[in-house]
Order: sequence, then structure tokens, then C-alpha cells
Amino acid sequence: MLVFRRQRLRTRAVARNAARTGFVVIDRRLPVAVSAKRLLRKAFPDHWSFLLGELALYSFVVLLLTGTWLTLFFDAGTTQSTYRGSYAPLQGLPVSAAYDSTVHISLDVRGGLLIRQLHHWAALIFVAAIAVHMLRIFFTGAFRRPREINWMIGVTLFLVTLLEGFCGYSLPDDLLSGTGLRTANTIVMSIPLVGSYLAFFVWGGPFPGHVLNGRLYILHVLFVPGLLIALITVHLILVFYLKHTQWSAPGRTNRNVVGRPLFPHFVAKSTGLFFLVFGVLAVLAATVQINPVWEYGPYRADQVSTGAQPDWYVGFLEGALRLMPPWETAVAGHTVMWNVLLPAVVLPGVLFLALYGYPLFERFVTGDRGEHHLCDRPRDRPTRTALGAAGIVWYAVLLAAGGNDVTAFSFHLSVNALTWLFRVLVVLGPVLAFVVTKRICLALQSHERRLLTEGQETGEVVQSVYGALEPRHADVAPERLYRFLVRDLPVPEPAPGPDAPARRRLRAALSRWYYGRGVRLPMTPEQRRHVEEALAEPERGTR
Amino acid sequence: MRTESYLFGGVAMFFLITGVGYGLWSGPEPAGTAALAVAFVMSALVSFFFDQTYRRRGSRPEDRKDAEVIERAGPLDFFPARSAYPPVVGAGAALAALGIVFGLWLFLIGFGVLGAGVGGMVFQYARRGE
Repeated sequence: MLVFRRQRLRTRAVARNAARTGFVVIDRRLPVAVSAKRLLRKAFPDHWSFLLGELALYSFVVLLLTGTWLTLFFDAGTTQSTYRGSYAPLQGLPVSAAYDSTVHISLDVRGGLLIRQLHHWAALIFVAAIAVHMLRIFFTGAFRRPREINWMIGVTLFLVTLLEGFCGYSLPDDLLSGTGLRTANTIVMSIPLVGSYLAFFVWGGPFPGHVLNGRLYILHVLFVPGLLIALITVHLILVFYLKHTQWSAPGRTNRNVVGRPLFPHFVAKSTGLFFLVFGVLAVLAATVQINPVWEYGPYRADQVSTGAQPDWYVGFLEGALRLMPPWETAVAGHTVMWNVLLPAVVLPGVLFLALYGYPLFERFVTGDRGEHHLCDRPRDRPTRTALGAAGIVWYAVLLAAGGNDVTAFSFHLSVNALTWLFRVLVVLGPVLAFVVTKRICLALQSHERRLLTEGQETGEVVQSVYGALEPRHADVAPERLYRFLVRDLPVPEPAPGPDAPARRRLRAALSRWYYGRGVRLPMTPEQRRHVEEALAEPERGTR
Repeated sequence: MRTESYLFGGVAMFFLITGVGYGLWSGPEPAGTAALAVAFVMSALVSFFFDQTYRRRGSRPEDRKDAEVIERAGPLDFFPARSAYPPVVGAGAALAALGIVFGLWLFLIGFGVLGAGVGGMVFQYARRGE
């Protein structure tokens, strides 16, 4: 036994020595120690809502892995041949190389269907995770200084992801994706003046042409993923550099970051999350069928399948197209197609402009130049939250309108009545959502005020000597009290006189609309001082 | 709790008698018979619960004719102050019922919402006082 022990000790010493030497050798050539010192102990605040971006990141990793595998078997060509694979119903049909290889991957390559479905499911979850992550940033105000640029990079990532998703969706050249490209062709053509030239340039002639599939393929597997990787890298570097936001809690202020160190806690948890994401996606891919192209058949320009639906993230454009009345104007022999231009070009343009510009807009309204590292609770910013809710409802109505035919079929309704219902809802729904959400936010604030003044109901009911039944109250727990009180409430700008410049009057009006309503919470002078300390800005030069 | 138990016991008896009578004379007609049978089971359950509570806790001042209000004073019991789960259960049940009409997919969604609501209702205050 002693011999073994000595041997074990010796092995351990050798290993330790080797590790030390190896570290020195590498550290003399690469900035290992310097970066490890700065990176490994980086603190990451803990909250479930901070993991949404990671869900997107890990779906993207799965996309890269499965996508690489798919390129081994996929052929993006449009060369026509006769189908001779193992799927009997397609036997003898003329198919393109892209469609042929997709069906081949699905039905003849071992594990091919699983990987293809994994790729498609990961893409859907990727976009969804980005959207939810973006909503988290929006509702907690994590886009404020110093994170405006990272917000814009995030919006760009979202935009590029939509493009990437649409390219991938179009690649198999089946009846459904061909219909999608047909729609895309019309959208490009609807751009005034340059539309037809642009469409001829992209498709290399009239629709469908023979060049687009190859172009989409190289975009989908090289350029856009490269752009995504580059943007994600910058996005993450900025998260590191600017530090993560955190929720206010005792000891967590606007000037510090409290959380688990990157190594080992955060790395271990995050790796676990990666495997969870991979696992859930694999279960979905293995059990839930997605995009069965062999059932749709190869694309033919003269055919459209019923119930044709794009992937969910393009659904809002589809819905907008379906809701738009058939307006056209003829100017000097040219037709301006408002029915396509407005919903499919102007509307997404306005949406993304609003997303890009919102941090600047709110900065203008607030007149606030300070740094913010504490997350806002949505209820403490009623107008911003209500605007977000209105946006969500608007998007949801458009998304639902994109499936109006399927909904009408499933619920035995008239598709025309449904379209009119959606036309009304797309205008009234957001307004209603705004009003209701703002009310709810203010109600939640006054509920907190009641909790602070009257205490919290414990659920214990007591009967008094007179027979009255009353709930028992207890003081709010210190952590909750802290969360209630530490909130960053901008002061509404007082109305300037009528002689003030229009810009200032506009800002004052917007500022009062944003911050005019709010519920004050009772605070002792000591609590007030404490809150001011927690919200104080980080000092300059102490990064 | 004995009085309450008798009260709901009477209701249960009513539904039992009408249910058996309805079942026999209607042929039996399934919908009405099932409704009456379920009404019987539900009122019998309430009656049984009151009876059990009486056995466990004995009689209260309310059960005596000569009791004073002051005798009942003191802590009564735990009643959740507020909960979002009952509406969730309601929405889930409504969706599941619509699912029976429109298709399995809607039923499954409704079932998921219903399950979440029931689970939330059961476990919301389960760790109270720990």
C-alpha cells in the first residue's frame, strides 16, 4: 500500500510540475495570466431573466453544429432531374438538386431527419430566444446608458437572424419555400422605381430563375453566419466590458456588480444550461415533425399549397400582407403597389427604426445623462412598459392574422370576417393594451404602497371579541421593502412657457406623459438617504 | 360542523333520489343522469368533509344555542389572501372544453394551462410556516 501511495504522490508531483511548466511556456507567449485575472473572476448577477440571451447563444451553437453536418449532404443546385429515391409517392417527379438532396437527407441518410429537424427547431427557438431576450432588456431598461450601442448591436443581430432564417427556409426548394420566395419576389418588386431592376438583379431575371438558390446558400452558410458570429462576439465583449445589469437588493447598488464569479460557478451553470437547451431541442427534433418537404412536393411556379405558412418570425409580415386592403396608384404608367409596399417594406422598416431609435428617444424624453446599472422593474416605468405591451399586442395580432386561413378552417369561421376583425384589432388592440398596462402598472405601485402602510396579509384570519373577522398583517420582508423603495424615478419636466422653443415644449410634454403619473411610497429620511446612495452613479475613472 | 354536514347530506340525498329516479324513468338518458350523479358525489363530498372536521375538532360555539360571540374570538384559520391560480384554472378548463369541440391540439394546450393552475393552487401555500 505504501508503495502505491508513494507512486501516486510522485505522479501527482510530476503532473503539477508539468502543468506549471506548461502554464509558464504558454504565458510567455500569450496573455494568459493577464486575461485570466481579469476574466475568470468577473462577477455575473444571478436571475432567471438574465439567461434568455444564453438560450439564444446555445441554440446558435446547436445551429452551427447541425448546419455544418447538413452541408456535407446538401446540394443547393437547381439542376432538374427525375426523383429516384426511396420515397415512393415522389417517384418519377422532376425535382431540383436542392429538393432532391433535402429529401435524400431526410429519408435516406442515417440520422439525417433528426439533424435536419434539430436544425429547424433550433432556428425557431433561436429567434424566439432573441425576441424574449430583447423584451427583457426593453422592459428592465437595460438599454440605457452605457448600453445603447449594445442594444443596437442586439437589434442588428435580430434583423440578421431573420434574414438568415428566411434564407435557410428557402433553401430546400419545396412547394412551401418556393411560395415564400414568390412572396419575397413580389415584395422586392413593390419598391417604387428600382423594384423591378432589384428583383431582376437578385433573381438573375424573371422569377423563379436559376441563380437565387446558389446565392441564398452561400449567404446562409457563409456570409450571414460569419456576420452573426462577429456581432455575437462584439455583443458579448461589450457585456463583459460594460458589466451586467442587476436587480436592486441589499448590497447591490448602481455602482457595483454582485454575483457569482465567471469561473467556476457561472461556467458550470452555463454549461449545464447548454446541455439542457441541446437536450430539449433534441427531444423536439426526435418527436415533433417539422417541415416535411417530401409531403409538400417540389416547387412549381404554377402551384400553391393550402394553409401555406412561413416560419413564425416571418408570420407578422405575412399577416400584415393579408390585412392590407388592395390599394394601388398608377403614376405616369407605373404602378405603386401600396398593398405590398406598406405592409412588407415600410412596416418592418418602421418597426426596426423604432427598435434602433428607442434608447435615444427615451434619453431625449428623460433628459437623463447618467449611467444605469440597476434593472428597472416594469411597473416603475408605466409608460415604457405600456408602450412595450402595445408593441407586443400589435405584433401578436399581425402574427395571428398571418394564419387567418388556418384559424378560420379550425374554428369554422368566415375568413373575411376574421380578416376584418384583425384589421380592427391591429389598430385598437395596441391602444387598449397601452391603457390597460399603464393602469396595471400604477395599480401595482399603489398596491405596494398599501403593503408598506398597512402591512402584508398573512392569510391568518382572526375573529375579534365583537365577532368581526379580520386578516392578520405583517411587515413586508426587508428584501421586498428594499426592492419597493430602491427605484429610479425620473422627475417630469415642468411645463415651459409658451415662448420656449418647440423642441423643449415637446420634450416637456413627453416627459410629463412618461413620468407624470406615479405612486409615492412612504419613506423615512434614513431610507431616503439609503435609496439615494444605492442609485448614485459610479464615480468617473473607477472602472 | 355537524349541522353543515346534515345540510349537505340532505342535498346529496335529494340528488341521489332524483338521480336514481331520473335514470330509471328516462331510459337512462346519459347527460342528465351523469349531471345528477356528479351533483350527488359533489354534495356528498362536502358533507363528508364537514363530518370529518366535526369528528376531528369537536363542536364549536356556533353549534350551541346558548353561546356568546366572545367565546369564538381568536385565530380562526388560514385563508389565502390572494391567488392568481383560480382564474388560471378557469381559463384552462375553458380551453380544454373548447378543445373537445375543436380538436386535440387545443385540448392539450388547455390541459397544460389547467395542470399549471391546479399545481399552482395546490403548492402556492404548501410551504407556509416553514
